[in-house]
Amino acid sequence: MDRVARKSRRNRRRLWAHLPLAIVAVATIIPFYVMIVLSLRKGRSLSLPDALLPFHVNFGAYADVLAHAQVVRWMLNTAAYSVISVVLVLVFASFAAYAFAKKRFFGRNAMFWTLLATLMVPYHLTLIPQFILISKMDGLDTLWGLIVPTLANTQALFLMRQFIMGIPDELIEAARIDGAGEIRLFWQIVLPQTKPILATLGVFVFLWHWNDFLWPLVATRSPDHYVLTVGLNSLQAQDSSLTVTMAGAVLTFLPILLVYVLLQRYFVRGVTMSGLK
Amino acid sequence: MRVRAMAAALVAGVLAVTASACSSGSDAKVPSDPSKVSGTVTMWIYPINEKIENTWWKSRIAAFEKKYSKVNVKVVVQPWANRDEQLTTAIAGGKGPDVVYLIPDQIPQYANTGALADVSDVVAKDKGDFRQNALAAMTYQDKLYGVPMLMSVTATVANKKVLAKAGIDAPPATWDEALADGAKLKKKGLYLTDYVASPDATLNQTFYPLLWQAGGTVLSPDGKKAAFNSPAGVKALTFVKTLVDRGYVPKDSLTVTPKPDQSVLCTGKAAFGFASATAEVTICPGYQASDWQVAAPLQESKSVSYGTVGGLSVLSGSKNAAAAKAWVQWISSPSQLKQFDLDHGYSSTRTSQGSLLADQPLVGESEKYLGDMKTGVTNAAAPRQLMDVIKPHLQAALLGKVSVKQALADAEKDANKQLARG
Repeated sequence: MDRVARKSRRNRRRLWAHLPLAIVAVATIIPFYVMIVLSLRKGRSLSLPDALLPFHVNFGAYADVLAHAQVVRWMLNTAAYSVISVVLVLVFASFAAYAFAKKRFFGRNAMFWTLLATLMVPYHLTLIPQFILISKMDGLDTLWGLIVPTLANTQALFLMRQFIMGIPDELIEAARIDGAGEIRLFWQIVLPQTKPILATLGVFVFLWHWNDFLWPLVATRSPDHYVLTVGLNSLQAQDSSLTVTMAGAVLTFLPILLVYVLLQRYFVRGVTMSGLK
Repeated sequence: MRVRAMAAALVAGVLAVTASACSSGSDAKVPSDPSKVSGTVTMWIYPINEKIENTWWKSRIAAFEKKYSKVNVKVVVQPWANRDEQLTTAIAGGKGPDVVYLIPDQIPQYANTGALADVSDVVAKDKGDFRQNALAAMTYQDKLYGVPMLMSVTATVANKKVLAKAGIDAPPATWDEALADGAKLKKKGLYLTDYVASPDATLNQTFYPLLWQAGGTVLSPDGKKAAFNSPAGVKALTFVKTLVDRGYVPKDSLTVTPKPDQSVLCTGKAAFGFASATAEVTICPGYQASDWQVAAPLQESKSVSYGTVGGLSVLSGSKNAAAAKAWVQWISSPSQLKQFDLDHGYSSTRTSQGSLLADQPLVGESEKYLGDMKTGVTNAAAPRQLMDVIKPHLQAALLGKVSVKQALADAEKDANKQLARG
């Protein structure tokens, strides 16, 4: 009897402990719920809060968005921009982070802190020089012109460096004593240790690129080269219907959700380990 | 907002340097012989009417290219969002379009940096046919920098059902009548109107019309000094404060801009929109034209309201400015302009076309006020940045943090600093 009572008390305590989490979870989910439900409404006029009840589902707004011949092309452009960027950003960030974390060279700290200081510069101030640079290299309206300026990602470098610093020097030294060269050392010893942070960064970098608007807006010149955010915006008048806007938002959001679901296991581990170190 | 203002100022500086270096389009004139002009003209337009923007231009381009066989026109529909950042970056990088759709707020900003070409020659033959206030809206320092393509006007828009609930027979003509109606509506738990004072609201549809109605102006005639801190300005802001203090407008809108279809006007909780475009109520839930009525803009010392003009500008950096001007002249010719306005649902900028939308409910009624409307600040280099420095002070007064006089004095000080920066 005692055991049952103890279990019951424990369950009650757990319930109270989980209640705030449940409230936060619901609050987080509400915007997504609103986005999805409003995307399933019909017409321009919405009567809130009635329109938030999940009845009278209508896919007209999705049909409106997808009816545009170029939407699929914009999705492919966005996928190419995001996936290629993720791969290259991770490659460059991990190389640089390894050097900053484990190598000794003149001016290492000064270089690193200078790089970090660039995070303080508002993006708008670098936009024009970046545009002129890419323009002079004939990169406007090209996929590489979109990707190249985003590759030196200081935030990714910082997170990777912090993670790699946590890898014991002894491990690297042992491999070196065993005859591993620099490339093998990085490829077979360091990189496998960084899988969680690579997955975490992969999600973040994918998200940044998938949602990126301003750089693709100024760097692309023709609708054939638009990414999804720019393309969908170019279809909307200033007083566009909320339902179509929401349908566009859902279509933009789905791939991000998919990436998150696929990498969730690594993502949580990466965040946890980064927090502990 | 502050970061945006800083960025805009920097961009303006960069633009000024760049524009001065590339003024090939400034001197080009409209060609008289279509066979003598060649080149590619790229025009940036925005989804004025999202249903047709991507297709409407195709047949027009084909017709134009038939006449101008050596000219190739490309119309690119760009997003409204971040359009100034996009355009200024493109101009600064020497990769701007040849023709761009601009509204009056933008004309001084770009003209001041030398980025726009004078297009007086484009309308030289029939300048008298364009409405004078439309041309004025596209003019900066006596030069025409855009050919007006469309117009609309805001007026008093009234919800007849709400009026009936409060026993009001007709929309108010004056501020005093509006206040009297406010009391009647409040008794029924309804608002007189909505006044949005949040940072993203435009003063063109909130404070400026009231200032003009009281006989005031935003700036001095030369555009170099703030002029709104005047008896008319005090009267206008006091009027709004009275609306707020008496509960004739919802307090939420002082800090948050409601979505258009969720505003108190749209949801039947307020009777009037005093500077509303009739199109704004067509998106209201359960919209029926017969439920709405249009009346003249309010009057204190005069009846006047805000209106918008959209036009096509030729960039001074265009390498094919003559072809660009030919295209703008052709697309703004009476027959093309009429079709453009009809298909996009706007009023014509040409007086010869009269009331284009007369047979349409509400908008047809509002067209009669087109001739008297004002288009905001057109005599200062950065009208939008000016708004950004004025708005917080007006909001502070309405929220009761400072007095009306103090708010206007503070706003005047900041506005003058902004104007001095150019």
